[in-house]
Amino acid sequence: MPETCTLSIDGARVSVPQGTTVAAAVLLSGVPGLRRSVRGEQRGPLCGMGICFECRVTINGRPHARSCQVVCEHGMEVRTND
Amino acid sequence: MTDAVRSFDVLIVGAGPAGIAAACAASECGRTVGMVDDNPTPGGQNWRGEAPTPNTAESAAWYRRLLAAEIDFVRGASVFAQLGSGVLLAESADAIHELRYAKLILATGARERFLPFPGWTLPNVMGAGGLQALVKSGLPISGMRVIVAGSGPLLLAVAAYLKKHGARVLLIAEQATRARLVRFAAGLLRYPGKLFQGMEMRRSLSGIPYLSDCWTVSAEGKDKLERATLRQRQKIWTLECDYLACGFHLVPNTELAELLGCELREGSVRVDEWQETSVAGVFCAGEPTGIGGLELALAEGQITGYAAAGQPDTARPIFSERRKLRRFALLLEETFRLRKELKSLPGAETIVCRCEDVTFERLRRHNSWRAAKLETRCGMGPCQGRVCGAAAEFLFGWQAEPVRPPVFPASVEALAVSAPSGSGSSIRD
Amino acid sequence: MKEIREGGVELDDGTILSAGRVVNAAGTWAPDLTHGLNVRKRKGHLVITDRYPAFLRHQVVELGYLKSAHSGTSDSVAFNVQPRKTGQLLIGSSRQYGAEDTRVESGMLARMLERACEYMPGVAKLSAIRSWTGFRAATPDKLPLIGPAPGQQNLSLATGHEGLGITTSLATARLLVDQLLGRVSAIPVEPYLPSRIAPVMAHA
Repeated sequence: MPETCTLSIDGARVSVPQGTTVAAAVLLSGVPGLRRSVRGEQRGPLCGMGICFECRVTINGRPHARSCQVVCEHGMEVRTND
Repeated sequence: MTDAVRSFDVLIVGAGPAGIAAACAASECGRTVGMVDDNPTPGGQNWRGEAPTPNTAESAAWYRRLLAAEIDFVRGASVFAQLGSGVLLAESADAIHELRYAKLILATGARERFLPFPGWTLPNVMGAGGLQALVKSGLPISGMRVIVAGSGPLLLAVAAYLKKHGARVLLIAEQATRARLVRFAAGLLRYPGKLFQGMEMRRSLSGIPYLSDCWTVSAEGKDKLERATLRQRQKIWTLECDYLACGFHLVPNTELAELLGCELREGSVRVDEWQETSVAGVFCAGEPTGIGGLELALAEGQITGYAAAGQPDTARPIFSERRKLRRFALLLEETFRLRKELKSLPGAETIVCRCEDVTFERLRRHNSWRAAKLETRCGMGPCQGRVCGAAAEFLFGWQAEPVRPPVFPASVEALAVSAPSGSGSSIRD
Repeated sequence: MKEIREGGVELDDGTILSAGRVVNAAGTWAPDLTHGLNVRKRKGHLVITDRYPAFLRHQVVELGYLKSAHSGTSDSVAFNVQPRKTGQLLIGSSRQYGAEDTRVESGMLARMLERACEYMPGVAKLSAIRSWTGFRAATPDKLPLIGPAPGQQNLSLATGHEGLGITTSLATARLLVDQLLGRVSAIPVEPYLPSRIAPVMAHA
């Protein structure tokens, strides 16, 4: 049984397999998108490799983190669409 | 002030296949080698996530070799600027890194080319490599209906991967003409290794329609993707789906090379037979020198590693393989060239610059990248034109402007690092 | 623009535009059109961050900004942060003489940002996405040139405003128009007359 990691996504506790990136964790937790565009449109990840910046979320209080490049850590606090 | 200073004989930016091959070669020549990559583990795109459990015998062999080479891997760090001659700066989530080197190898890979079409900004529309990367990073795909579209051999690799992980791949839509694809298949006869791979892939993809002359006309859905409309010659139809994996082949990541003053030729970094760029001591291997695939990246990586380590004779035997694989790269370029019909994909209201929400209609009033940028802010967001720039180049023929630091967004304090550590006090008013 | 001449200007495609009076308001390129004009390029660097809407509500500038702007010779930096409508922070400022190209210089950028972090530590962790440079038009005594070009018939100058070109553009226009129409201005014009600096200038 692979190890899991528990983090908080928009206040909800989510458990994911070790090694899952924050972007994948947000999507599999049911949150529809990661950020709002400047016009307020819902956006999700596009490139999956850290160059498009569509996957930006706030991690442990720091905004504009590229979530597809960050592996989930125990106790991480993630906020989307803010 | 930097948090960590490291010095190497050879520093390699990028830990994909080319970087890994270069690192192994240089290290085996007795040089101290460092590798820096913004991903948490080595592998780049091709071997993403394979560090613990390689998928092929080939990648397994390289990973074993990498482990044995004892290379200093600076993980999760983006190189954003040059501090001075022989020193690069990189930033990770918790540290600023000063990376010193005698020789530098740029193995910065490639990114997908995205072309805008109505609905492409909906959640669950991703790049082809993009969706694959997300699945490799933990996104469940089993049972999901996926359309793979765009152009290039990557589409097939992605479709095979997704199918293997339980996705229902509805079809693969390739914009290239049937005639070009037939010529490509015939061309593969000269590369038995690739032909074999091709046949393996064909087998694994049996049951999934592979449509030529076909592309996505639009993606639709309320808050996320629900269906996509496709076109193949005169036929237009709509399919319900959960994910659209859409990318139009690859674009080299040349930004760091440009910042360092390396000359480009037709969008790729110009190198000599030793893979050295126009800047002495700076080498380049893999996709940034021209999109050519995995085997070419490995060959170039090895040549570069030996050359940078000062043992060019060890590199010579690989020259003929590189020559052969470069011909394959030309075949790729020929086959998957974008057709002009794709220029009419975006509608007036289709967003082209996703960072700043600039629509096609607002852009096409201008006649240069610079003018468009100043009036619409296109290209001024955090991606700095990495997504919209390639699209604008195809749609309008616009050339991007020279690269300025930071090459990737960096914290203000990281950019404030002024002098190499130990070189004296920082300048004050 | 190709050149200014008696009675008008010639464009680089050969077109001639005739006018009774020409105003050279070409900023750092004004000397290209009017030889001998003592206007020098003063290079400045700027950095802009990603969007942080709640971070700052108004511009913040250090008093040393004035000292920096008025220095005649050396390279200098001064703290200057401005929130944009987008929520991005615009961070400056720097001044250099003798730098003629638009290249972003890491050393100057670093000095400028180090100063910004000293004055406003909260700025240190913000994500900087872009840097660029621009040139200000600087005169020897730090005041703009507004008025007739000495030794030239029918040529006026409106340039050399250093970092305050946009801010003082309206006032500059009023002073210039007053002169052209022979009116008395609301404020003394002598400090700004080009004749104070150079006796004679020539067309390029």
